[in-house]
Amino acid sequence: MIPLLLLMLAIPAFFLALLIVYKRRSAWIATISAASGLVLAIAVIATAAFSGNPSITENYGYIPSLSIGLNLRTSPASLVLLLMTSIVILVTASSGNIAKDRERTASILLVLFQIGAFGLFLSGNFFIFFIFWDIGVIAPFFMINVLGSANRRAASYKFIIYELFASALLLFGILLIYFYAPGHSLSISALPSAYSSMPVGIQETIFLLLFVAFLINVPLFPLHSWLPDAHTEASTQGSMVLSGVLTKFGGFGMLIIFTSMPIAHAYSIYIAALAAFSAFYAAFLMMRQQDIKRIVAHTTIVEMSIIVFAIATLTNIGATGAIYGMLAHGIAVAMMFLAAGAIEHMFHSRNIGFLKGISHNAKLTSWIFLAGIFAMTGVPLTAGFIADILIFLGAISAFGAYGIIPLFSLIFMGAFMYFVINKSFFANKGRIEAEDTVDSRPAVGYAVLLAALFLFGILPFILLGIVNLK
Amino acid sequence: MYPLTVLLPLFVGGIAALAMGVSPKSERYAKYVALAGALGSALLTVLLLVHAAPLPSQIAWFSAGGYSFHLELSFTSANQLLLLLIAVISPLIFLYSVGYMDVPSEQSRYYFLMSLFAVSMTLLAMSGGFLTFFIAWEGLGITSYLLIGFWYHKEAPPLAARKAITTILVGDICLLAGMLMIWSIFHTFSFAAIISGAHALATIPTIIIAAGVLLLVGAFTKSAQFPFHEWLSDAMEGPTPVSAFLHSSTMVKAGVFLAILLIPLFIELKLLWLMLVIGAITVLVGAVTALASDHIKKILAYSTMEDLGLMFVALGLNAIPAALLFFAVQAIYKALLLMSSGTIMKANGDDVNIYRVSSFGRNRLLFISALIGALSLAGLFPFSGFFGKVAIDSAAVSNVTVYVVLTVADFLTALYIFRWLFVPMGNQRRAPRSLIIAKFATMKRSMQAPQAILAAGVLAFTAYLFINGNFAVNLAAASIETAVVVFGMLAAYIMFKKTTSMLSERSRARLLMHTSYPVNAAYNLLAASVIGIARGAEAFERYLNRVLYAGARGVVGLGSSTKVAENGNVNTYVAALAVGLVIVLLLLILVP
Repeated sequence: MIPLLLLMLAIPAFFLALLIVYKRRSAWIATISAASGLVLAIAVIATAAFSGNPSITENYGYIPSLSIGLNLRTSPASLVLLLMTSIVILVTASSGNIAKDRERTASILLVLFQIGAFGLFLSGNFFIFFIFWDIGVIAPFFMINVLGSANRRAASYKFIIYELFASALLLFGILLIYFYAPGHSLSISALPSAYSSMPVGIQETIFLLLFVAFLINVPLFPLHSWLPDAHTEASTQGSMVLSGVLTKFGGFGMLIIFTSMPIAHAYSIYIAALAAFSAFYAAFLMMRQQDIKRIVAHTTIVEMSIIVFAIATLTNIGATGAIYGMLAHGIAVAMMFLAAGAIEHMFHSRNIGFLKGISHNAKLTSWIFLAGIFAMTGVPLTAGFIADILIFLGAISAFGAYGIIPLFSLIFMGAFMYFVINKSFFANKGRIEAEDTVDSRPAVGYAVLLAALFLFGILPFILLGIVNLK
Repeated sequence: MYPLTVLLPLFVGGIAALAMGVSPKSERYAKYVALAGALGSALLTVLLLVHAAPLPSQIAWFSAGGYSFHLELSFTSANQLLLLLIAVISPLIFLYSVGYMDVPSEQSRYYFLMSLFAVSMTLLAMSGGFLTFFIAWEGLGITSYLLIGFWYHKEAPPLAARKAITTILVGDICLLAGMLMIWSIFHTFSFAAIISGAHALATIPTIIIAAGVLLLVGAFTKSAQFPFHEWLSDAMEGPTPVSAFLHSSTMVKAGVFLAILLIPLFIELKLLWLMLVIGAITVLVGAVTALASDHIKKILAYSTMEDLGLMFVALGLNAIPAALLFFAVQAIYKALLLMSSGTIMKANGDDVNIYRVSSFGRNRLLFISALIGALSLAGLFPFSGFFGKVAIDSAAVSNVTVYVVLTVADFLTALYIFRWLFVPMGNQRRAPRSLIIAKFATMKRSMQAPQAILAAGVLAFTAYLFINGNFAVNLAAASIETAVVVFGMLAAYIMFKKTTSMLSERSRARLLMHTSYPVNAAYNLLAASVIGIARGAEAFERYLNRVLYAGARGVVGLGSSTKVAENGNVNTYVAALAVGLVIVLLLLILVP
């Protein structure tokens, strides 16, 4: 039996070591690492599908004295997220560094992030969940702080303060679980039974601590303001993984706490209301943005709010929709940020007031950006459509007709995106010329992401078959 | 096996579309591939309609959360009618495009989008459930957006495209919301199952009524009903074959088509009045604005709005056969008239102002085709439009208000369509321009032929209605309609043919009747208020950031007062850590 899950961590770790030792061809090494991640993710999914068992587990000794092991485990949600993560990271590694800027640093950070993300989605207990969470936060911090654009320092500190605050709450919650669970078990799969034996006050505290930690990461109103700064100032690769993968850490955590902590029922209606408000709030904030990356960053808040809303429905179909929504959003937003990065590199500006008629020089990028808008607004045959259907069917069954309300935030988001693409991409008045033509440099990346969007939109039964496994 | 046969027309169109997408260099062959695809598709559709004994059918798509979702197809008479219309019109449009689209560099993009549109439209015509319908519906919206903005390097088309997609987006989200709310009650997307489910309900839950309203809003946006109509006239910025295909004869019917498919549900929900009211308002707005406009294509666009409004009125009166009859009749003469205006624009160097262009030269074929189209649109006996209009008028006899609205609209229709015909002809008489006349004489065959065929189609349809006329016509309504139309034509002859000062280019009455200005002002007001909310959110966000920042400052302030402890001495840290751990452990042990 091949230890597939361990390999998913060991192979990137090996490439990370190689990157540190061997100083040339860094981008290639990172790409190979990402590609092997994708191959392994597909192998894990195939194993789960053929055995009919979505939870593959592998256990290794780690800290026996504290009865903490290196427990690796998959769940339907983590299988889907692993696949999404490996696709996004593959494209980020192969096409994300459009300017070919400090390739070695960028590659090291990306592979480090790959380890963090894979480890988080594979973690079988909260101890290693926490470790990989922090690895996943540290790597993007440097992607902003070192590789970012003009305002990178302030943005990176804002990011790290929010995320460390979230980490602290997470750690506190995990410590409470450790002390109150029978046999000091931190196992995620045993959490439901352990949780029910805890005192009610502690149950509530744990739920709220973890919920706020994940809320910051997702992020939801009112603790969202790190996201637009961080996503805007990060390097293109940084924005792609931040929006595409890092925000899913919180979503994945939310899925865990909402499915294994029955106390969620008491809070779900308030959380759903907060998420719905957050979706509209972010959509309106977005309308006042001038920076193309900030605009895309705000769509992330809108979409992730809708995903938390779906999780808060506490229905099977809503949770499935949330998982599918994270898949669709991760791929779509990575594509948008890749296109935004190409635009920034070509026109040396991200300001929609300055950018005019850029489709003349950036034809491919413009069409990709348009396709990204379609995917974001849930046009059929893209993965977002399947997600929207499932999310809002779950929402209506949980909250009645009110459940449909957050869907209308997409009108504001979509209308503004069409305004932007019309004003800056297609309208020809006062057209500006590119200073650097790299329009087709990320073409392979675009193709991979587009293919994934349509594959999961046209043939949704492939992944939903796995999610439906019980 | 059966579902595959059904999908054949889709495949032919799809292959044609893909072939062009794959090799963008093949500009020269794109038109022939597309034309062949359209012809093949039409042939297969006809074979399907003649041979197959169609049954509703479904294909399993995916399942989640314990429910499975299907793609449903169906072949009710409404489905068959729309399929037949597409089969007739789409090859003619592609043939017309061969002559009309003579910019060599943009051929493959154009034919790719048009083929994609034809595929979506065919799928829409076959759909028997919301999932299939919505997929096709969005396909229509997106191809329409891309085709309106086709000349995106010009100034107006991107703006027109944006207005269209924004309106359509509102409709899309409303339709999606409505269909999901309906699913939550019936747990199916199949139209037939929803209708039988609605019949079986003892009491109607409020959620379905809300869903019904949302569905109708979706239908109104797509079919350019008041107050969602202004995008349609702007959509005329697209190439003329696009206007003739999408924005007059097929795509804009999608909303009406949805209402036709689900009419038993709307009857059950008692929502017919909404269709009736919105339809009647749209009829008036469309007819008045068509009379006021000076844009050769926009006159026809407002007329299309009016036609669609008439269909909603018919549905609102529960006169489904009348709606279906008009649905079919209108497609043919409207496609013909738009092709006609495209030809006029072509000969006049893309000028669109009816006070400047001159029409037809000595080309009798083009003139007679346009005349047949205009007579049919006006609804003069015995042309096909007459039957459609009289069927709706007869249904409206019981409702005086609606009947008056329809009669006024009949008069205005005769007036504006002959204004459309006479004013450009008058220009020619006043200032004969030999170059333009020569252009009409040498107009490409591929552009003339579809117009002649469609004119023949109008006549054939008329003959068919005479032979198979098994519909109830109110004789009084028919005679009143004929009198009003004749009166309207006479008025048009006096106002626009004999004297030309009436409703001239600069007349104030014309500007007053042009509803575009207030409607666009209302749209701008709405947009401004949304931006106002956004400004409010932005101000709040700044305030929120300040609060969070102040909180952070407070923590930092606390930090600096404890700076004494942070002296870099590892022993101090370890000691502090140990003390902290002991306190935590004590707390955990003491507080159960």
